Amino acid sequence: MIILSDKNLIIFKLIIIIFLILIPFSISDYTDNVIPEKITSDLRFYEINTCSISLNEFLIHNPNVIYQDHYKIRFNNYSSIKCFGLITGIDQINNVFFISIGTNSIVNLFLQSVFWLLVISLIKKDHFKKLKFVEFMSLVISSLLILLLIYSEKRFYNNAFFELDLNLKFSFIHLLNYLLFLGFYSLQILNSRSNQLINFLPFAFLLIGVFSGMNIYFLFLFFTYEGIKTVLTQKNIRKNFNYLNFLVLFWAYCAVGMFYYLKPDKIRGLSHADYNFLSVFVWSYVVIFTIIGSYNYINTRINFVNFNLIKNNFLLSGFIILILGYLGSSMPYINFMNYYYFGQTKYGTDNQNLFSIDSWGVTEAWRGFFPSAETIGEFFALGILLSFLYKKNSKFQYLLIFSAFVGLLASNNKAALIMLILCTVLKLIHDKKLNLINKFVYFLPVILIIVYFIRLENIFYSLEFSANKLIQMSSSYGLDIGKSSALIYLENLDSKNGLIRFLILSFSFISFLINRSELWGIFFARYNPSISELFFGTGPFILSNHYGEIDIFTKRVFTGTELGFLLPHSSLLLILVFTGLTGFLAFTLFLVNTLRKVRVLDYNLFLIGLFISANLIKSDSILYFPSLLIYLLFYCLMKKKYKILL
Amino acid sequence: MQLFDIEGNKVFVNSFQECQHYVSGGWNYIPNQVNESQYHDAFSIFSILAIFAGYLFIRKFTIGNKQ
Repeated sequence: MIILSDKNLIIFKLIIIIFLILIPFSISDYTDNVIPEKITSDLRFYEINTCSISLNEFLIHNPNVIYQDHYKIRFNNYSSIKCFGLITGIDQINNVFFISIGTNSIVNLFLQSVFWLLVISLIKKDHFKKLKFVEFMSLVISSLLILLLIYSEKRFYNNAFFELDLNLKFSFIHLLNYLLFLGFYSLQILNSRSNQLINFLPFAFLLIGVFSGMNIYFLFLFFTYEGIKTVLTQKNIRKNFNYLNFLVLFWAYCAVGMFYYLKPDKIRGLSHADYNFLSVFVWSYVVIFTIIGSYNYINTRINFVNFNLIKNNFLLSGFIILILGYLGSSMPYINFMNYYYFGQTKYGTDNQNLFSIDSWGVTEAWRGFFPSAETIGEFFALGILLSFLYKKNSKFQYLLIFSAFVGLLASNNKAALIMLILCTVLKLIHDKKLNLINKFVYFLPVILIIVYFIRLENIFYSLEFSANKLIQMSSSYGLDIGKSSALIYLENLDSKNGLIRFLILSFSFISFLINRSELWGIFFARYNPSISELFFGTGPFILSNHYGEIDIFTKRVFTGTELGFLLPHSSLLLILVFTGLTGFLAFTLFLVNTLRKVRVLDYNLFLIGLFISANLIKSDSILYFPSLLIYLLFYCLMKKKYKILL
Repeated sequence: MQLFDIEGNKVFVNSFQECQHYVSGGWNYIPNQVNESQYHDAFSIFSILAIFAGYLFIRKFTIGNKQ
């Protein structure tokens, strides 16, 4: 057998990667008499000749579609396998042409996985090991669990697989084979590069890895396996895991007889769609195993963390995200390829102006490549913060820092910008050991910036107005019939205990200052837990009941525009929905305790922890798996510090 | 376009080829379903063989490393 050297192997893999990008969207019968016509408003040719012209063949005859922004190339996952990569139709709406490309969820599963695995395999492997029995069992169990998830989320997957009837046993045998195949190769490639891979976690923001047409991240295949293996092999984790079984049963029991459904939209991959007993039961285990697996994977390799490499990878991936986001905003072909090959949950933006202003004179957030402007803004700010804390930047890295700063400003994430400045000032004060007056001088710019963003006039509103704003907003969105239990509680706040009133009004006051009154008001207008759900939540990353149970006013109160799918914009509120007050309080105490401990051990890590914690209050970043991985990485780094101390 | 057969069954077609298929092919043979199931059979067999091949390759590779 020919064994290629490392360098030749990389070249070989790169050639295959290029083929994987070009070939699937080029296959069609070039000898037939169907020659693509120039695209005009007369679209009869494309109505007749469906599934005959490949995307690339079409682009050769219509090169302007590659770069003119009034064309939109869109996938159609409900196509036959034979129709993959071919044009299934073209529609014109006003002056925009929508070009539909046939894709198929099963082909996506293979093609995207192979592409991502090949990209990951470019990282040099550090060891290779044979599968043990327990690992093989974990692989089978994880594949069965994901298969059961597909079965239980029928409402989502019925429209995902073309001519694969989910009522037939044979369909599941096929799916199980596919999952075993992908799981097997994922764990071989990821396990053999595990020690180095940890430093490349920031690239998860670039290679997001959600299968097109499915509600699952590619990395779940591996981390579910890793989680099951950890539970089977580690006694201490297994002991704590037993308590979780009761919680999972409780969450699933709450879903009996409920049939709420949430179209996952931009949070696809980490959002449960079909709310019923079985799907809540299976989804909860998948999420729990994935979190345990990710944590264990990172924690056991934490000694291989190289801060300089992580910093560099933050900046480099940020730079590529910015460039691809901008290219994708103006070039339909790049936009489509970004979506498909990076596994985006939503197409990149088509707004080409990074600093645009809407009709109300408000700066618009530019999300570029990523589905959430807020989360990508945090990512850029974290990259800059790391470069400041772990200095010795090269000239090239300064260029990358500049691009990250442009990305941060474009994302319009004011909280991330303020926290970045605050953490920088805290670091300077800590290193220089200043007296009180000098400390104040250093803090002054931060205070001025905070006042500028909050706006001076907002500070001078009466306390009664600002502290009640959230409740007022919540009431505006709640309907007279069928109010949520949270809204009813808030509207009767005057009759409640003084301490509870103080806490809620303080929370409302803070929400007013950070411009979250409306979003959090909408959240409480929808939040309708029973007593037991208030204490234990409704399950991890399950929002279908939150969005389906209570009807609220469907238009924005101030603008009259459609409300759309608005998330609460607070990871802490999401934790409250998922795990109830018990989880919320445990998580908050745990966060405060971790920060308190690490402050004396490693000030840099403390600042990173502070930055992340502050952003958790007002962003939805936990709903994106790349963010979760980064948070786990920094948590494991902090934990390592106390271990050394002990 | 909508097509009907003698028993009153009806179908919407989107292209000339699809129309031609129904006119000459009858109702019982649905090419999409047959094609798809053949593709799935092929993918399934490929997946199983690839797992075995990978397993054997890795076994040989790791034993080679130990020596």
